[in-house]
Amino acid sequence: MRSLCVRLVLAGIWLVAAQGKLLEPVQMAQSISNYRLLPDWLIPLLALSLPWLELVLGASLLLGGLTGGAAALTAGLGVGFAGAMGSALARGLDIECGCFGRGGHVSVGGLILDLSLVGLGALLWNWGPGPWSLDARWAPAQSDSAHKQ
Amino acid sequence: MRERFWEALSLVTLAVLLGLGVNQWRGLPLSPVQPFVPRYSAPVLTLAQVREYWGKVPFLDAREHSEYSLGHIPGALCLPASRLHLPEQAWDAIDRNLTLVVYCDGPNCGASNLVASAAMTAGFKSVYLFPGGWPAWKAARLPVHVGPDPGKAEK
Repeated sequence: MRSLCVRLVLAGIWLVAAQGKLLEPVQMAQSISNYRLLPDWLIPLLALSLPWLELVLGASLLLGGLTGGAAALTAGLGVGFAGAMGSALARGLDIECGCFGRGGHVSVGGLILDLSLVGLGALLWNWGPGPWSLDARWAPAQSDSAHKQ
Repeated sequence: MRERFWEALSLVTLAVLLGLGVNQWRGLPLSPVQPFVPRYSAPVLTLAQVREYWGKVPFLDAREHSEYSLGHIPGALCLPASRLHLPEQAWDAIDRNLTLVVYCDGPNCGASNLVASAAMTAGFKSVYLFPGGWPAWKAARLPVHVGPDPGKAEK
């Protein structure tokens, strides 16, 4: 049950984050570029993939398929986002966040949300997908053993 | 552990394929292989943010003197993009630690881009663009000032 709760919360965050950005790659590239952290050649690839990764993670967590990988990516992206936002805040950059579509700006609240992705991702990594998941349905034995790892 | 690595890699691969595939299908709104050229040379501010900065930091108006004289954001300095090459446009009059807000005649006016780039080259670390510019300011019925830049009145 606790796994299901964490999965649903994370799936909600990812799906909301993805929906405003999937078809706005140019806007996304501008947002990434505003952080002034990544080389220009990398920005288009990231701007095209990241919203779809958020969608894929949302679907994966919602259904409970490939949950371990999704938990790891959630925590990893949380670290990356928190690093980017923390560095923007430290440099005093007043820029659009690129987190949930248009409008939001880098903020301490956003930083806390990023860090909570890390925390929830780590919890899910530890707890496994739980019984109400595709993972458990496909390989019941494995989801039991996830707790013992 | 190993299994989760492969799961994560599958998810990333799926996302990259979806992203590139949809982009291709939509007729390449963003080229995945060309380095990204930002539309704006500096981070952009909304009108609401600009109002927060107004009165606290220097504003630069990148339009020509003639347009500036007809109306500008009160307190803004006139620094036309066309005069950037002139030596008299030394930036030393402004403290380089201050944040700058640069605007011109709306989102498609390139002058503020040039001035913002020049400011960053000159050593200003915190430079913002206000793409809405003069039209957005005027449309919001905010205070305006008419007349030449006092510093360059005789020019």
